Amino acid sequence: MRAGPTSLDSPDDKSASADDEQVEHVTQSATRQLGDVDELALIDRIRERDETALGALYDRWVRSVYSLVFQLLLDPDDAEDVVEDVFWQIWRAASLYDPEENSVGTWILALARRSALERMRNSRRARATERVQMQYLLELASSYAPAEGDQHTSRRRKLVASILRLPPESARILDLAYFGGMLESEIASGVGEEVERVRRRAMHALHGLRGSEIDSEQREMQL
Amino acid sequence: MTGLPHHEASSALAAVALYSVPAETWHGVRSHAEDCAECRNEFARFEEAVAELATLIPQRAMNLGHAAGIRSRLLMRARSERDAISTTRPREKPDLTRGVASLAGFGTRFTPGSQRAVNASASEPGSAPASSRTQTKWRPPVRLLVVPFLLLLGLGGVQMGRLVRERNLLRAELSTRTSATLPADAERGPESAMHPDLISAVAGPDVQLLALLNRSAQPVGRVFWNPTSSQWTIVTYNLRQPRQGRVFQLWVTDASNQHASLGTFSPDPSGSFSFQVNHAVQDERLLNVSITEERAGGAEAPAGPLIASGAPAP
Repeated sequence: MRAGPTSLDSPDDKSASADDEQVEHVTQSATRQLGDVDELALIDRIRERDETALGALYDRWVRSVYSLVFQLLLDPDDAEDVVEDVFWQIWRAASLYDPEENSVGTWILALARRSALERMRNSRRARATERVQMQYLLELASSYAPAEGDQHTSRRRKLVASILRLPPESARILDLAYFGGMLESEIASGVGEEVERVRRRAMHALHGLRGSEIDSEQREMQL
Repeated sequence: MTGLPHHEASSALAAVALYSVPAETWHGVRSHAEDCAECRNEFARFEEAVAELATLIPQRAMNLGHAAGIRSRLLMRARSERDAISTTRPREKPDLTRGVASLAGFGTRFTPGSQRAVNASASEPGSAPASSRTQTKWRPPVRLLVVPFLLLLGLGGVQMGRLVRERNLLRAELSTRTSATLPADAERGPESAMHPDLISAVAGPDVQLLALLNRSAQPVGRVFWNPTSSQWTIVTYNLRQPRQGRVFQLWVTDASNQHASLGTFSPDPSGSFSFQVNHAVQDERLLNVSITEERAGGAEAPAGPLIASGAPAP
């Protein structure tokens, strides 16, 4: 029996501001304590075709999904299309969600990211090359400030510390893959490395985020 | 295990979690991970790490009006899809038969007792606003005629709405059937061609209806079996796609636990598929019908994971 997934905390579900340009860090907003149990119940109700549960899940996650998708597509119209598509996928595919595999939040954000990247790759492949020089991840981590009332401050601090500890090459690969939405082959040609090495760096970066320690000898072998 | 070697899948897990690989690699690795506990656990951890990164992204509020519009559209779509499924969900055989009969322009519709009760209570004269009752002076004989008339009108409207809904759904289903791809199993040959008279195939007096449920007990299809003619009509919906290099295979298991393949198939992107085939079940004693996921080309006996199954009513 596998261990259950780590719960990704639910986002704040406060009403969105009327100002659509308002930007704030999720870590700076009061995070409501909603356990995975609540969200599993919502998913169960969606499986039973209860559309009010879809509405509740939408209210809870729309802001985070939109923020992630917008960050990738940089276009509000495209982002809104993807948001609608993501929640429709949730309605259609709720029966395929496996709580033993991932938390609800991870599942939703993975769906959102995949949908956004599909759109990005289908319509705006040129953008990927514009991002070869980006260092967005390090900027995010460097500018992190814990929010008052955020119950997950220590977890976020660990995440930020893990990002800042990453070897620059690995952080760059993560940046290009995560925020740039680039394929490993594009990253490889962009940074002038082989695909295999890009894969190893990506693996090392994600191990780093999970706090998995890799001893120096193993790291040498990997990189 | 699938064809992708472990070391190859394992080395790509992080890239797959980041979705920075081509679609075929993504499917190949995911498929391998489903059968490989080590890769599956590692992949789940990587996916969590990737999702965690989203919590650092600046939150941006969507335009309120747009957000409300999307929410409203989603709920409306969900509601109409749910209503469509619940209308066609096989609760009892007579319902479907009557629906088909109404589509063909013959047959009789009967209002269930419970529905009559609901309609009657909704049309109770006493439920009218008090003001209208006090303002309108009804002469007793006219009132006696008008109340049943309104009752009949209400019942007729409800029935008409249900009939139209069912007719539209069945039409859509029939058109799906006629446009569907035939099973990949070449051995089926002409037997697997669509029967021209679909209505008799799904609504004949001997036809038994089996609901196919997935592992979460969600309905994913229906099987219409006519033991007399040995004809099977299978309709699936909301089925996921088989993994790369795999197909779905439909099995009939008789009372002596003997499995017979009815063919292999892959649903269309919406999860739908339909086909007809002839197959006689020994002594007409059917244990169940099941769908498993097998290697391309199909298996001699069910070996892959169970996708859905259904049993005849006792």
